[in-house]
Amino acid sequence: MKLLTLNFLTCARRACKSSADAFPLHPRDVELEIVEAEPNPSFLSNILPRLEWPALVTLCAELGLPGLPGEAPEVAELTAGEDGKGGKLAEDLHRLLLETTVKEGALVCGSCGHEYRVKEGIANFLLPSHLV
Amino acid sequence: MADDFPRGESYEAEHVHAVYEQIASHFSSTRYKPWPIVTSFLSSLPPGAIGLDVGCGNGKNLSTARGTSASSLSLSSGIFTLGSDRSPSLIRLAAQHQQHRSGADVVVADALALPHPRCRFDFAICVAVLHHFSTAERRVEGMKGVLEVLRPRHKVAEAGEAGEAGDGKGAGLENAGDRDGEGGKNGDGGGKALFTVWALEQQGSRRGWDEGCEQDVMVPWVMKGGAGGGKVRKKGRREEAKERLIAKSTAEVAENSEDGASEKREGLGEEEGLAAEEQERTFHRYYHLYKKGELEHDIVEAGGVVLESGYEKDNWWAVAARQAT
Repeated sequence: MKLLTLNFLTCARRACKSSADAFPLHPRDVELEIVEAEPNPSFLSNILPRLEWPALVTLCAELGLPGLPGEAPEVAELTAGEDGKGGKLAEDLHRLLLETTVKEGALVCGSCGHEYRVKEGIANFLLPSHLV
Repeated sequence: MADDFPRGESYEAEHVHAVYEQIASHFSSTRYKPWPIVTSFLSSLPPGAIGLDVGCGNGKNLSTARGTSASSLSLSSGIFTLGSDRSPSLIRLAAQHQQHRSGADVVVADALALPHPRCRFDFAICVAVLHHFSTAERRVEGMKGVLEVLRPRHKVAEAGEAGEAGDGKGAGLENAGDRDGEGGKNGDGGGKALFTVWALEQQGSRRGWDEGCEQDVMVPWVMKGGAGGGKVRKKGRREEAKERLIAKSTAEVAENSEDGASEKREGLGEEEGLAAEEQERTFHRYYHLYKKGELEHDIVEAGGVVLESGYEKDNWWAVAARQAT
């Protein structure tokens, strides 16, 4: 599961949907894996405005991944450069959002504490019946 | 017609979820091409749109997304689609296809408990999913869950809309005004969802269903050549025979798919059917067949508005947005 995906996930429990603490989910004991993906600078710049940047910063801090600016970069920064490929920033974001994946571990809701398992790169959000 | 047991979650666990788990691999091998309405909906989306594929199965619609194909040279645009399905087996198959793509990812989730923040998404597709919910309440509930993740239709007014208290994030809302992919149909910029469901009115199909027929049916899936046969729980013959009778009363000749893409089941007599059991196994999935106007009715019931709707190859479809307030 891509780190980008975590920007669009929260707790599956209805009661947590309205809690600010439920987003983003917190990684616990995760094993990361780099899975190569085709570089696509314009895709990256197109989705940039759709990201919750603070949640991404939180995630990187919790994963111990360095180097993310506190503020979201401008779209222009990603498409700058003579080749229009945005240089190092675009490369870094591609690596971080699209190629860095959670292989094993858990995602924990900051509101209810429920833990969702990630196995072989797939997160499972099915709830036990008593939590539905 | 479907049996008399009370319908709901546990009914679906047995007559939908368990079946898909068992037929996942075979089912997936018959699902490789998106329907035209799905392709056309996804093509209408602006570059950078973020959305969901609720009940994505093996992910056949995830690969359609414009510009996400690794082999595509026109990478100037692209959308990101997050697929989810109740079946871990189908998601495993989807994940294998998606892991090297930038434009898609998948998780295991129940459509009635989606793990997504509300009001974040530009689009959602929910293709051939709602007809597996076995009560009217759950079908509307499923729709509600899809609609509430969409961006609301107004930039400011949505803050006071019921059910969103505390979301307060509003990412992308500032872009709402310029995210109109359909030339004015959705001019105030909210997200939109495509729903497709199997139709009751199928005069043209070999199943013979039509207006006035029973809407709640069991539809057989025939797995040939013992695919997965060793692993699946053997049903008693009497149980099998009963289910086959149910199926036969529903449709003289049934097929393995709602889009006619798969092999046809011959009209086996009861004895022949039992004799052939060594070679093939039959599973039955529950379906609610939607009659004309029902999908649109449910959208309104779920708090949505219908932007467009129609019929395509034995399925009703509709594009919906959230009710503007």
